[in-house]
Amino acid sequence: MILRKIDAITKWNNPKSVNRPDPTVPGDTLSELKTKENKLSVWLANSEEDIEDAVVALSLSRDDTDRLCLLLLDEEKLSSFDIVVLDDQEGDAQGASEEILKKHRNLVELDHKRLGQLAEYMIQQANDTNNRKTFSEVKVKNILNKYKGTKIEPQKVKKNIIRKLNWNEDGNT
Amino acid sequence: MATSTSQTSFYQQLIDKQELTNKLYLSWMSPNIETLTKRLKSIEHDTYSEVLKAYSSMADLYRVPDYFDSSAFTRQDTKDGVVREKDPNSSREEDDAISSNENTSISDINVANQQFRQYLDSQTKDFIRTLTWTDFEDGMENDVTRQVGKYMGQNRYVTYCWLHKIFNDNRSKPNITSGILRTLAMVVNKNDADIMLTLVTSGIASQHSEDQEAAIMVVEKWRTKECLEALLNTTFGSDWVKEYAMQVVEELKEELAV
Repeated sequence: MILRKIDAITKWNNPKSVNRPDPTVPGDTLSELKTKENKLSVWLANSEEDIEDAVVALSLSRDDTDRLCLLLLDEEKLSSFDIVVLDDQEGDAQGASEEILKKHRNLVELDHKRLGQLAEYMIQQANDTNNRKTFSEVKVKNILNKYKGTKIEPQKVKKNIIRKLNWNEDGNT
Repeated sequence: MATSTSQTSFYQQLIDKQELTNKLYLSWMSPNIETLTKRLKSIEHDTYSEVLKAYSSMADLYRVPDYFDSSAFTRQDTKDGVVREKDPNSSREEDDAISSNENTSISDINVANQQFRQYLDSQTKDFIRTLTWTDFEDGMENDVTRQVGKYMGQNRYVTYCWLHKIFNDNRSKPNITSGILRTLAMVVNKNDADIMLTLVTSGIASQHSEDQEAAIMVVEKWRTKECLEALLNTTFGSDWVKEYAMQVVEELKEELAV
């Protein structure tokens, strides 16, 4: 399994439908799948530990310790759309360990057809409680505190994240 | 940013105030009024806040510290430039005369607030356009949050009033209202939660799921009992949003011992 971060639950779960006789994936939903070099960033999610590692990486790459909303995606299903999951680029998150960053993956060579199929599949996943994960800010902070000093090098973490976690400048609580 | 004609006229008004020039003269250590006037005329938007702050703090200004040379700092709205404690035996006419003089600084603050509000109102169209086209990414600053943060740094309460007005004027446009709520989650401190609570309760009660989702994000930040109460007994338009809301409700119940 892999996971993809989303930023608006309501674009995936019960999204506003398009007012036409043959509606497919709403344009607003597609806007959440912004590709770069025809790639989309995802993270390995084969175990609870993988998921927590992804939470660490995603949180450390932001400006704040906000909630995180994630969708679990089955690689086999993606493969049936001819979407390739590639281990071509390490993740980027200040302070996260090498072990975490190596769990980053890319969905590559995405085009109009593949993006549509992916979005449709993600909407299905968002309607299934087993395939969607919400980490409230409290949970995000708990996970970051849990891995401080082991999978997280506090001294390298962004200053504003350190402040939100009430860690000292040197990384101690 | 270039100085607009209206801003220039506002600065001119400020320059005309002897109290302000005195204050700036003292605080900027400017050698003379001419230099100060030159500085004000060439002022940029970023300095606008400094001028406003100086202008708004004129009430404090009158309480001249002992170490100041009083001749450089004479109060203009009293007969002899001296502020006196109110005499308990004074007549009503005398009291009214004193109150009227005391109110001068308050009216100056009101004028400054009004000027800043007019400035914000002039920015509303552009702000809404930016808000509409901004993709809010959880945990990431963007042009809108930075812009509102900047306005708040200049005058928090007037900025809140302005946001209230935009929210109320656009209640049926969730792309605007949810954007405002997401901005609140990012920039408004818990200490001001009571001032902006109505926007959050309105968002929670909205028929638009995106408003509800954004309002829950604010609740997550502020974590107050009032916010928790607003979340309870709400019907949600998306079962995932409901799931998210319940997670926050459980956390707050435990945290607030409700």
